[in-house]
Amino acid sequence: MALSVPAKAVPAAIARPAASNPSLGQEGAEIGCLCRRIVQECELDQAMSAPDNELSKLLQNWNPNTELGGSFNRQVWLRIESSEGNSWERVDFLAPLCSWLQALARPRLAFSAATIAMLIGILVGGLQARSMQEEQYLLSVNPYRVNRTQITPP
Amino acid sequence: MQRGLLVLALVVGVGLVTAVVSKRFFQKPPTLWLCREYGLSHKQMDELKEPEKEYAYRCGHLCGEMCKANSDLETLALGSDSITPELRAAVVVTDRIRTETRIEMLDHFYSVADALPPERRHDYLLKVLPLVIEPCDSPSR
Repeated sequence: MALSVPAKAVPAAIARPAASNPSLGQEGAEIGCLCRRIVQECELDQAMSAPDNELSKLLQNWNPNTELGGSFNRQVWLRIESSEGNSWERVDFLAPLCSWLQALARPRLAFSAATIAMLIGILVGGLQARSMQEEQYLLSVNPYRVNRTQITPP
Repeated sequence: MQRGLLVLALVVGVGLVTAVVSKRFFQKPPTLWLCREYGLSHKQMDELKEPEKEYAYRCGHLCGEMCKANSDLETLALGSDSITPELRAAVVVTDRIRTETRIEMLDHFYSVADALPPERRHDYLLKVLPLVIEPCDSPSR
């Protein structure tokens, strides 16, 4: 923390190094060191707080004329939304499939799916066999389609 | 996810295999369709078995003759530029065999229809008569 003590307020005897003033002893040397540091910090503070006239003039003369336009905000938000939307779209497309496949890997669901597939297979196979019986009868009485290896004399 | 894909493939495979096996399991001899469709008793079915065997033998014999006659006709037709007496005779032979086959078929269908309930005979004949009336389509069926 910089102390705002004017440099002239520090006595010259104190500001001098302790080595050059042996009459002060050990404590006097420490006080001297401390005061010298205070003086240095005060000088630095004064240098930094000095106004930069050229910079001030430039800032005062600067007048930004660029207009952002009425749709600037909207376009910014649209760009943000579109960038977010692309990533979410990709995730949305694969997410249900992935989650479904991951769920199917669970043993209980896998067995359930296999059981349902077997039931559907039995149903489809039975219906197909039933629907083909008429066709098979017509083939069996068609002499052009009779398998001659099955024909034996009565 | 890979495990899920594997399970999905297994499930589909199980369904397909089950369908094929159950189709074979539920397949019955063609005469059983006749029994179920037209409400025949086992006794009536047994009575039909013998005529069916005779019909199969006769028609099989005629089918063999038809194959030989067709082969002869093809050889003669390819080796000739015009209608010769031999070619004409070969055509007549094929027609004769085809006619005999159609008469055999019709005879058998009438004998089966006799065993059916009277109100179902017409229905049965409607199903089987295309085999007799359109014999040219029969081989491709």
